[in-house]
This record gives sequence, C-alpha cells and structure tokens, in this order.
Amino acid sequence: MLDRPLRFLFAALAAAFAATGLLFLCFPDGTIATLNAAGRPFGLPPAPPSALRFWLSLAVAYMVLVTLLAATIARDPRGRAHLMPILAAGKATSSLTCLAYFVGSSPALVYLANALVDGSLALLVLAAWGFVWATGDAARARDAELLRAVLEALVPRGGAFPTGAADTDLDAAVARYFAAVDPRLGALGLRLMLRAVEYGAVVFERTRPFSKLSPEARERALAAWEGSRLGPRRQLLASLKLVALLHFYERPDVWAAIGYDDGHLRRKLLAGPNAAAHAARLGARSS
Amino acid sequence: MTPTLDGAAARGDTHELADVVVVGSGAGGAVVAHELAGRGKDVVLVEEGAWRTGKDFTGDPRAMIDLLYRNRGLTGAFGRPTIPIPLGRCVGGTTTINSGTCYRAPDYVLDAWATEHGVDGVREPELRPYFERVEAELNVQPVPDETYGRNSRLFERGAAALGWAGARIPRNARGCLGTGVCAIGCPQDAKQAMHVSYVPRALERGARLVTRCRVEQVLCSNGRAIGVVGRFLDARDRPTGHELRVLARHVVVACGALLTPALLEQSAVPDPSGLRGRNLHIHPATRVAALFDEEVRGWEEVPQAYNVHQFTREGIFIQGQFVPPALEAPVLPGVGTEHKARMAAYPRLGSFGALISDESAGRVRAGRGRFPRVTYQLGAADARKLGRAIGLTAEIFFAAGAREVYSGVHSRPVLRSVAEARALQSASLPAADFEMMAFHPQGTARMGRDGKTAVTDSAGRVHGTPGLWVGDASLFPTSCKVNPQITIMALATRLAEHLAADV
Repeated sequence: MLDRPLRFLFAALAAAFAATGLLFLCFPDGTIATLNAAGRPFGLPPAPPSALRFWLSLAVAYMVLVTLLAATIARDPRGRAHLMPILAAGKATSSLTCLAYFVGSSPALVYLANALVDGSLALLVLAAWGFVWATGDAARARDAELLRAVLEALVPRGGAFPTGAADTDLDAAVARYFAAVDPRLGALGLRLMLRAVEYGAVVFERTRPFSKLSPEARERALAAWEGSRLGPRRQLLASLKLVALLHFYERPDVWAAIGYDDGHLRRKLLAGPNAAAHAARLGARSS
Repeated sequence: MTPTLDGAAARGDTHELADVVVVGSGAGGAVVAHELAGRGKDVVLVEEGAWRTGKDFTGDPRAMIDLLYRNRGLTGAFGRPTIPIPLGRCVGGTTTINSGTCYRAPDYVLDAWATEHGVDGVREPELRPYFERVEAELNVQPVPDETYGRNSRLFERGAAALGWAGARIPRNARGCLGTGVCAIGCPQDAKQAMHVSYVPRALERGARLVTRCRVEQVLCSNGRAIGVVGRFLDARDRPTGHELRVLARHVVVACGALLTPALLEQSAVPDPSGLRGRNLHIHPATRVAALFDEEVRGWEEVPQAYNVHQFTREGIFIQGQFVPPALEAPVLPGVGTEHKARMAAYPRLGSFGALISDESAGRVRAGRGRFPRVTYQLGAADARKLGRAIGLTAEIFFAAGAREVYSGVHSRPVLRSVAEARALQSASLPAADFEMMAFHPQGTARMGRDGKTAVTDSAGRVHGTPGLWVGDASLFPTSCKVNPQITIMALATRLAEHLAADV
C-alpha cells in the first residue's frame, strides 16, 4: 500500500542529496556566497569565510552517505525501513547543529536554511518510517500478541469464575470492533494504545515491557493505568477496558458464571405485541 | 413521493415542495411535524437515521448501540476529560434510546427564562396546556407496581430512611412489560418514543417522511430560508450519490443541540447575536453501583423508575440507571481477578445515576467531518456538585443496606462507609477524576426576544433569517434541570402553533 510513492520519495531524496553534494564540492564558495547574498536584505550577517577545505571533505562524505542511504531505501522501502531512522538521525544532527550555530555563533542565513531544510527532511523520513511501521505485517503480528496479553490480563482465567479471555475469541472481536469504528484509523489507534501499554510499563512502572511480565504483574500494571493520576493514561485504559468487557460480557456462556440470565428478557420479548418477530429471530438463532 | 421514502432505496435525485420542511424526527421535529400536519399544512420530515421499530430491537446492547446510536455511541465533547454524550440516530432520535422519563421543566426554571433571559410565553401557566397536551399524547404515568423492581425499591427505602424526597418517575409508556432495556430500544414499542407515537400520527395526518437522508445545507435566498438539501445514505451509511432537495416556505431545524447549530453554521446562516453554538449545557452524570447482601436482579424491571428530587433545586437529580452486564462491566472498578469478583456479584448490584445540571458552558462548531466539533470543560463548581451528587447517591445506598459502593471516582473508586460517602459530598475533586457521561445537550441556539442576546425569538424563529426556525433543546436559555424531552415537546407544540399562523 502506497509503496510506490515511498520509493519515489526516497529516490527523489537521493537525487537531491547527490546534487547538493556535487554543488558543495564544485562551487563551495559560490554556494555560501549566494546564501549570504540572499540573507542580506533581511539584515542577516554573512557566514564567516573559511579557506580550510577539511570541513568540506567531511561534508561531501556526509552527502555521499545520505545519498547512498536514501538510494538503498528507495529500492525497497519496507524491507530497508530500519535505515530510515539512521538517515533521519543524520539530518536531525545537521539541523540541530546549524540551529545551535545560528543562535549561539552567527545568525547567518546558511545556518538557518540548513536547520529548517534538514529538520524538515528528518521529520519527513521519520513520518515515512512511522507509516511503514503502521502498515507493516510484522507490527500486525505483534499487535495480535499484545492484544491477547492485554485481554488476558483484563479478564484472566480463574478467580471468581473459570472463563477468561483466552477461552474466547475476544481478541478477534476487539480487533474487528476497532476496524469497524474507523476502517482507516481504527487499527492504527489500537496499535498505538497497545504499544503505549507495552512500553508504558517501562516508563511509568520501571519494569520490563508489559508482554515480558508475569500474569500477576500484568494485572498490576493495568491496575496502575486505571489508578493513574494522569488523565490520558486512565482514559486509554478505560477505552480498552470498555471495548474488551463490552464484548466479553455479552457472551451468553459467561452469563451463568455471573448469575445473570436472559430468561426475563426472552419471556418479555415473547409476551409483547412483537412476539412473533422476536420468536422468529430467537428460533432462527437457536437453530 | 409516497408518505415514506427510505433514502437507501431512492434511485435518483428527489425534489419536493412543501409548506414546511422539518429536519430531525426527535422530540422537537416529530412534534412540530405532527402539529402542523394536524393543522392541514404540507410537511416533509427528514431524518438521517432509519426507521426501526420494536421488531428490530433485540435487547442486545452492542448490536442495538450500533443500530440506533450516532457514531456507535462514540459521540461527545472534547475537554479534560472528554465526555461521552450518547445520541440517537434513527426515527425518533434520542427518544428511541432514552429511558422514557418525563418531567416538566420546574416553574423556577421557566420563570428565570422569562425574567432573566427575556423569553415570552414560557411561564408555567402559559406552558401548562402544552405540557398537558404532550403528556396526554404520550400517556405519561408514574411507573406502576408491576414493573417497579428491587433496584428502585431498595433505593427508595434508603432515601426514605434519610428523609429525602423522591418519587416514582412519570414515563411515556403504554403496555410496558418491564423488559428492562429502554435505553437500547423498547422491543415492545411500549415506550412512547417519537417513532411509535408522534411520527406515525403525523403521517396519518398527511405528513411525508424521508429517512436515511443527511441534510447538509439550509437553502437561503435573499436572506430567507427556502428549503434544505440532503444526501441519501445507503444501508451502510455511505452517500448513495443521490440528493434530496425540498423547497419550503418554512424550515424547522430540530437536530438536537449538538447538530442544529452546526447545520446552521455550515449553511452560512447569519448569526447576528454571535451566540450560535455557544452556551452548550449538558447533564454530566456518573453511574454509581452498590453491592448488596441480597439479590437485586435489577435487569428485571424498568431501569429508570425512581427519582430523588430532594436536591433538584441545587441542580442534582438521582435516577435509576440499571444496565445489562456488558454495559455495567466497563465502569466497575478494577481489572483482572478483582474485577471478575465484582462481576460475579452482578445479581446483587444496585445501580443509580447521579446527574447534575451544569453551570459550565461548552461550544459547538461545525467540524470537518460528519460530527460537529464540541468542546466542553466542566468547571470546578460543577465538579464539586458532581462529587456531592455521587456522595449523596452512595449515602442512600448505604442507608438501603449496601456493603460497598462503586463511585465512578478514580481517586476513591470503592466507598465502604457512610463516612466515606459524606466525605465525597464535600470534596473538591478535579473534573478529570470522574468516570463521566453526559446527557441532554441543550442551549446552543437560545431563545429570547432580543436578537442581540438570543439566536431565536421566543417562539423559535431564527433572528435575522425569516422562514427559519429552531425546534429542539437548543432553544433552552439555561439548563432545564430535569430530563428535557417533555419540555422540548411542549415548546415544539407551541412553535407549531406560531408557525401555522405564519404560513
């Protein structure tokens, strides 16, 4: 899905990086002079001149590296998505150091321009990485594992009654629900919530990731989400709990265990003016 | 056009002429359509949802929420916290999925509307004939013994022990069997929601009904409303590509206080007061459950049958609110084995709702999607009031013999004594501490004679746009302090009288 635009994006980046590298190599002073001239109408001082070419050789080496990275990713964005954060790290470093020089050394346009351009590119590459992650098969399989872990902690086997989430198809029902709420964003929302629970255990409870905990520790971790003083954290757990328990406790095989029966509802359905319609439906369901 | 047109079945664009087109078939729109049709006016009533009846209502919570609630029940207001506000989306609107409670707005509220907000003709003696007319149409009666069950009786016992005033709730029902699932559609059609009362009677009187049609614009010409345009929706809620266009001498917008101002805004209707969409009031509520030693079996009765009105003047009302296990489980505190133990005691649970009428106000704006952008921040005074309401509810439960109370307050989810209940009554807790829903949105197109301080005049005419009316709870200048449906219907009856005179 949308792999062609991704390939095109990274190929375009590779071409742009190569062109910029060549430009710096062939016309180092001309490029800086052009940017200095552009900054002059805004009152920005020129970048300090430098006759030393050592930094230029490092810059060209950096441009070669990011060009090759982008070109490599462009051939298989999904298979080589692990290179995207490396590329983003290079661009972010370039952006942040220039920003620091702009603020702390000299407010030259060349620093500002590089901070903005490379910062934007770092965000763009990270967004592509997030997109690949959000739509990838590996993450989907991981979602299923995490969802089962969370549901089995919400409704474990044993305790007041034997049936737990593991005895049902609750995981499939919950996944279907999220997908039905919003076909495009539902699964992604669930994924983000599950990842928050997984790594929230590390961040908030200072334990291992949720899926690595014992069943008892998982229950404690979810209880900590529910009792958290952070509203968004409580609301996230409340959302998962709402959907999970809505589906779990609508199961007739659970009702007997909690002392509920739908005998009253059935009797009333079959006693009123719409009895024939309800009888037909209930008959069809039981057969 | 046949008397009823299902938008999903429409095979092309449809153009209609009428005296009046009414948008929304809930407590306001259905009554306006019925009253105008009864006066011989040619009325087209347009509803976004489908026409379902008791034959379709199975009592299965999730399936019925999907069938009857807007956005699968996932509608609400953004704030800290975000507050769910469930709405109906079907013929009958929210009356199809409410609990059938019928209270008139109290006299002191109506007096305040008249004196403080400049609304003419709404004092109790003036509105009384309209209330009586509506109540007669809907057979409003207190809950009878046969369907008054243990959850309500226990709570009544607790309130009586404390000396606090309460009474059985008057409801709009005919032949109620106490099936216990009012809020997910009455399978017997006993609850006299609009889809079994005013709407069919309006059709008998000659009105036409269009279902599954989302009105997206009020048409105006030379500053006057002249009709509406809507899109037909298929059975899966997607636009069919065909549209409805109704040209009419008057347009009544009655989509409820969240959707009405958004429709007016997206139609670029002038807003001379600048108040459209502002002044959103809701009734924030928390469901409070209690564990008894004895069996309650609260699902075998009318779920909302008893009301404590001791505290109504201070904006607190406490009403029965028992729900099926799938809806109760998510709000009981705890996870894992602790939560399972609580659910295993489900037959011994009692459950009541603590509701408040708010002083805070939110805002509705037309959103980019199909649902408006609703923002609301519960203020500190209202948070205190809600804490007090929950504490009072808990105290009544303890007086009735409860062992522990599940409060819906995050910082103190389980109350085990009267002392803890009383402490909650005076606690200052942040709004985000409450497990909250809200009902009864109102106030977003407030009425009043002065066009500078009100969106509509006292009858519901939109100031500055002749031919355009608002006919729902948007009209209320303040919170009506009780369940609003009867007040909406009374005002809609009165609106129809004025409108008929204008046609």
